[in-house]
Amino acid sequence: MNVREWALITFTILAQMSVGSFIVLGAVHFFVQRKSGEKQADELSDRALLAIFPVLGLGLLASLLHLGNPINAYKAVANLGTSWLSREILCGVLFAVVGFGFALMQWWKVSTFTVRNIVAWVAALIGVVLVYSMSMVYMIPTRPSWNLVTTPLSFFVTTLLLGVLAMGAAFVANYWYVQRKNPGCASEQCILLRDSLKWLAVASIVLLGCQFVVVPLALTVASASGASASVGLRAGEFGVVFVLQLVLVFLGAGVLGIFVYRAAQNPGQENAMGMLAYLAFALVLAGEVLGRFLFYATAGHFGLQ
Amino acid sequence: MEKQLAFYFDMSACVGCKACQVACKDKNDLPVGLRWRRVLEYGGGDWIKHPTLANLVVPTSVFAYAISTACMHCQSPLCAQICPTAAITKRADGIVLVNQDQCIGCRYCEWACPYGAPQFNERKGVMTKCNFCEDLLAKGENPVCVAACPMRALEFGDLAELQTKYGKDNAFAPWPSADLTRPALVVTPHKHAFPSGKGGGMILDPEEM
Amino acid sequence: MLFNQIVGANVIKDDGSGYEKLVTITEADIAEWKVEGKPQTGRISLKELAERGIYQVKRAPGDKLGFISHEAFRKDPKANPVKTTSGKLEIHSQSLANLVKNCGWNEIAPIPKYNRVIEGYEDSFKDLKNKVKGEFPLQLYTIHYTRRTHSVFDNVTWLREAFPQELIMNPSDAEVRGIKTGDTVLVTSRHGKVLRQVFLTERMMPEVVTLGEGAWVMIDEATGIDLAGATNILNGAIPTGQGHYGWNSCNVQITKWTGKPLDADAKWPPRIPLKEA
Repeated sequence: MNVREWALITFTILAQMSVGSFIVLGAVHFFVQRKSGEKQADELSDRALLAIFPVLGLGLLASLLHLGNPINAYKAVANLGTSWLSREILCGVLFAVVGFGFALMQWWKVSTFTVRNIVAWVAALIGVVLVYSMSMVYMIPTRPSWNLVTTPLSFFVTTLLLGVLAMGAAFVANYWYVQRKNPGCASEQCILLRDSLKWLAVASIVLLGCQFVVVPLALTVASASGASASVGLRAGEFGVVFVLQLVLVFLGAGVLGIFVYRAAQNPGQENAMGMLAYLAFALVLAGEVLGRFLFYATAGHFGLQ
Repeated sequence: MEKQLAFYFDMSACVGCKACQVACKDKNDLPVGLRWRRVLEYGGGDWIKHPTLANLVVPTSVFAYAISTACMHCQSPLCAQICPTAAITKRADGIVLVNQDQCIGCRYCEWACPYGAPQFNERKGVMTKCNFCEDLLAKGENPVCVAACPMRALEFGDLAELQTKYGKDNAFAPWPSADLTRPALVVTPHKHAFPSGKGGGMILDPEEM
Repeated sequence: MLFNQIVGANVIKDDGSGYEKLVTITEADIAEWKVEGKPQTGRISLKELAERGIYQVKRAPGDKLGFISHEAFRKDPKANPVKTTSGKLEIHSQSLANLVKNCGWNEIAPIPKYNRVIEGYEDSFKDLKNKVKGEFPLQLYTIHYTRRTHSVFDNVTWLREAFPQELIMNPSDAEVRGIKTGDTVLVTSRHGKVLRQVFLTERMMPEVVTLGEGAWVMIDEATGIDLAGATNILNGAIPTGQGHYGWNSCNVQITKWTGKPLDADAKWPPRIPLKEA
């Protein structure tokens, strides 16, 4: 593994996390706004929203590191007709522009709620197409362990899982920031935070379940379609990394998800709940990075290399 | 596409001398590590110990043969299809070319090619590959690999004409199935040649060490 | 010199009665080749020979182009003896045995027999009768390696890339020694040591290994080990007579090298003889 592959791991993870965060955040904002009004919903989520796009920007920068000739990088959208990579780059840039544009509109309350909503939906849609395009880049016949239906599936599960965990941590950070700036005024925020984290905890456990379906499914499908070498690598040379990936994601999303849920049920445990949310995010992020590392490391190649 | 330039390779004549590989390196001044044309050996088999006589072993099915492989200038070039900057294009005469000024060095074509043709030049930061010696063809000369082969194992010409002359075989181990990208290649097999994907042998490439 | 060979090439006439020139050379050819010579008429043009690369005489049953070696002797051996002591073709040849003996290096039997090679198969055993292998259990024979003509051009980087001067052995021998393709191995003989990257193929018979002759010696002063894999380091200075040569075979043991692995030959800095001198 080298700089180039770590650049791709970083880019795909951060980009997917950004899309997932945007979608999760949008969903949370929608439900909170319906229950407690726009102001409370904004207070809960606007800072997190702004934080998504610098992360995406970092990811896009990381992707430049994997190029041999980054000066020409702007030419990468020149083959939208047949290249999923071209489409992915375009979607990435569009998502960044429209998404960050929406974030600024939201922060500065530009235009009306309805208009902002539409922009948000457009950005979310572009985000979904971005993740899809990203996964389609890997659907090439010379990489049989990638060229499976489980690749887009696992990309989307990762997107949502990272989004859920990241936003959980982001809401906690936001709450503590608000608390410190304005102690006492955040009691409604506290309730909303706990409620949101409860739902996020449930979502993380559900998505964990999805991961534990998709991961073995990917291995099974890979074996069946002749990519057994990559499966063998996960069992053999990279066995420790694979086990570590599963353990980290299980601990983070599953075990900590349960503890976060429990801590969120009653007031007064916000500190513990917050730490658990941070820890859960860190574990799942580490696990997902390892998973993506394995994706590249066990690629194999069909034909001559 | 009216014309499709293609290579013909007589596997049964190839002795694995690598004159074609070195001629190509010479003409294109390639650094160590880049082999636009390379010669690979494919071999396998086993030795069996005699059941009673100590120190006696017998070769069963031991085989080896060499192939000379470069860019296949495929009829359905996956590299051109997936390149994000459209740096790889297929000419009217069938030659697939990399435009190094357009290339961003993302190496996606390296992932996509079943023949290992596009190769990354570390110093230039772009992908490079066999260009059929198109500058020599324009002058009416042969590609240097064709010219260099002492066994006359390499020829080139229009794919349809080569197929009429030599048949349509284009995939033997260790080359992959021709169904992926439809290489512009005609091959006369070695007597031990296995079909793609078969043979149980290994690519024996000491240069990879 | 090639031109002279082409000019002088004679081909048998169709009726077998003699020889004629093969290649037609014109003034234009002489000018193009920038040589000196006279035009001549032959069977094919120079251009055709260059393009085809080959000229093959057509044979057919009953043609006049047959040749029978020692025809007179075969028809009447008594009247037409060949130039041997007995006047016959000798499978048992005392004169050949005498010739070899008179050179003073070794003796051979007058009939073809197996001649034991010094440091060949037998010398890999410490107990040949019971087939117990000795300290140097493998036989290493030397090949003419495609990277070089003996030692000429060993320093050309592209050739070093194409042909990495690998120690070639059978996978079964490597397996018992815990060696994989590409590993650096130490090759030890009774006379010296070299380091090489190993390459595994079933084309090698088990318990026999090979290494190309002619590499430019590069001895590591600290260890006395030759890093370049020159087979002359492994072979002893064994004078031999007719039959085999001291440089063709030696016995070696091969172990995985636990020190710093060798770089591929192509990556070594180029050696330029005049500069080194």
